[in-house]
Amino acid sequence: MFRSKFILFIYCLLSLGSFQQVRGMSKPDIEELEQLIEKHQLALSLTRAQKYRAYAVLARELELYGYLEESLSYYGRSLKNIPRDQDSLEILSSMLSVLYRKDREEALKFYQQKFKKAATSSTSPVKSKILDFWKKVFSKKVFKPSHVGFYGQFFKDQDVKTLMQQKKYSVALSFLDPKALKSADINHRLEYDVLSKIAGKKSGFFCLSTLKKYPNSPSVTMDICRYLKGIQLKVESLETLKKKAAAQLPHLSYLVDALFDIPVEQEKKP
Amino acid sequence: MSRLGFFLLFLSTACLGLYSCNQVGLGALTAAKNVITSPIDGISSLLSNRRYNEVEERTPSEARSVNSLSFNHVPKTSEVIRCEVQGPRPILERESDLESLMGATRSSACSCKAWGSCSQDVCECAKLCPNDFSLFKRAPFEQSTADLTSNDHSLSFRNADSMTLSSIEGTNGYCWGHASTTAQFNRLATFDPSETQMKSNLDAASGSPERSEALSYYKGVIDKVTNNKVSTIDGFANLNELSSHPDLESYIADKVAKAWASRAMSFQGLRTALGTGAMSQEKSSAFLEDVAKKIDNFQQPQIVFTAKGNAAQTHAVLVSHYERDESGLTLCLRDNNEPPTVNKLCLNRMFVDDDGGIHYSPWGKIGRAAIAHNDQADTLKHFDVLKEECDRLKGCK
Repeated sequence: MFRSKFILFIYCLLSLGSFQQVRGMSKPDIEELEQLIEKHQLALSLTRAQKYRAYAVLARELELYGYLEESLSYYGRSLKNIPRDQDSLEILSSMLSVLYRKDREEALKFYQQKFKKAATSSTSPVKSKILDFWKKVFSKKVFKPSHVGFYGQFFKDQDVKTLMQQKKYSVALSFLDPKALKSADINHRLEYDVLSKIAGKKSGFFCLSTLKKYPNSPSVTMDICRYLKGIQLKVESLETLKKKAAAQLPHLSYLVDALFDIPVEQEKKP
Repeated sequence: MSRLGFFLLFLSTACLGLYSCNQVGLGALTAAKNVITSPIDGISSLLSNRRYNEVEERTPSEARSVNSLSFNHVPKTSEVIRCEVQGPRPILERESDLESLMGATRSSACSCKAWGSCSQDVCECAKLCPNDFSLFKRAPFEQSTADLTSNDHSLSFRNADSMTLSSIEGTNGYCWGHASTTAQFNRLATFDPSETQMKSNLDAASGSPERSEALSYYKGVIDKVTNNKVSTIDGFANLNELSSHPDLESYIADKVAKAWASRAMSFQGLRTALGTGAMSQEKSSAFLEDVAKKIDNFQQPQIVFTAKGNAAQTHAVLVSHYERDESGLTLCLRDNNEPPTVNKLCLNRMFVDDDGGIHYSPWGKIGRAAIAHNDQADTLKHFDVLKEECDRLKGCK
């Protein structure tokens, strides 16, 4: 009987993806499914292991569809039902990555209070890799210049930004390679341009090709480029640009802040 | 019948009532049984996989004929319907008459195919907005999935050219996010360069209402596409142009990074990088065939792979199209570290080598390769919103 009910339970979960052949999964679908499960008390008759597995399936699917809140809720239910002989690393890692997408502070709290301890005691062969990854994500330290795989750019970006905020400009510059910046996005080109200007470079900035294409753009990035080139900004002053960046593009503030550290002798007031 | 029997029958009916066909119900029951017998890692995308298979089964096999690059596509006559009102036959006296007749015929003919120009009066909705993967045959798709691989339909910035050449050990940037975001724009965005007002307003004075409105508009449409909604984007001719604008490039690059985070930072993303041993001949061939099948279903699937013996060297890309000849199947990768032209010409090739492992031309022998865990769900999300949009546009609801 348990087996029949479990199949039925999962069957209803599966029907979630097919409620409407066209619309796919939506919040009303999830609510409808929950009502169905509650109405017939399907979950009550399942074993812990069955609930753990069923809720994990649904949580993963919700995660893939971007329903972060609901996904967390189902991961939580799965975790509550985890059998003693099961490793919790997958569920905890999934919860942490969903939290990271949703709220970085909450993710850090979860990492410190629950994840580290539980993951350390995991028997999973992927434990060390996953622990190492999240340790780096939440660490304020700057890492060695070995940034590899899917995760390379992520850690490099964090490092360059952190180093610039710490005013360790020459170290940050050493993380970037000018040989291939032509096709990088404007943020990365500006990072290199600002750092090399601080180091004494006077011309040949990578941002200039974009400025040439959009000479009238009042965007923060183009004003940073104008400042490096020593031409008139679209705003009144560097102070105004700083305020504008803080208000509109706070993630670029570190670039504007670094402009204040260009040595006076080479700075041309635009 | 026992009480339990009635209960089960009721519930089965409740669930089955949501289906239009018993086969679907049987599929669900089979999948439900699989949940019991599969390890948790194996069931992670069960719902999406099942629905994906349903849509795939509906896709007519004859629609899957343009899977590799072809420059000689001729529209099938069944795709073209002449919509003009019947009248007296024209008398052709001069060559110019013939030209004008051909012109009139061209302008009055309409296409009866997915997203075709015919109205539903002359072309049935099942053809205009098919409920299968031929719905992905939407501009910029013309003849094959390779059409999407051109410079115009690619992001203006490569994944991390700087990183592949960098003195810092081979890193691959936000490749996964780059691939996913590119697929979102290729499938869900249409561009209307004739509507220039909003784009012009981006050059208005800083802080002016015009500029604020334009910024808000463009960020809004980018948000829509990256949140898997269909959107028309005014003022730009294509993705390359949009993503190179100084007001928007940074914004789109952020979206790429966020898309990366939601995939690569997941448990499955972290696990992906672990397989570094060469795959067996059987698994290698099965992987290539699975990818080819997706391309036959008009998709550029996202794949992830690792270098042989180096779990840290990982990459995620779209597969542009494939070639099949006497030597076997070759995937043409849309490598986001490479210029789009190189990708369209299939210079980044993936195939099964003599040892049975997978060979990727720029890397040599690779370790594990797999279709990205998010690919099925992403495809279904796009399919759903495109179907809804097509039905709306063509009045097929």
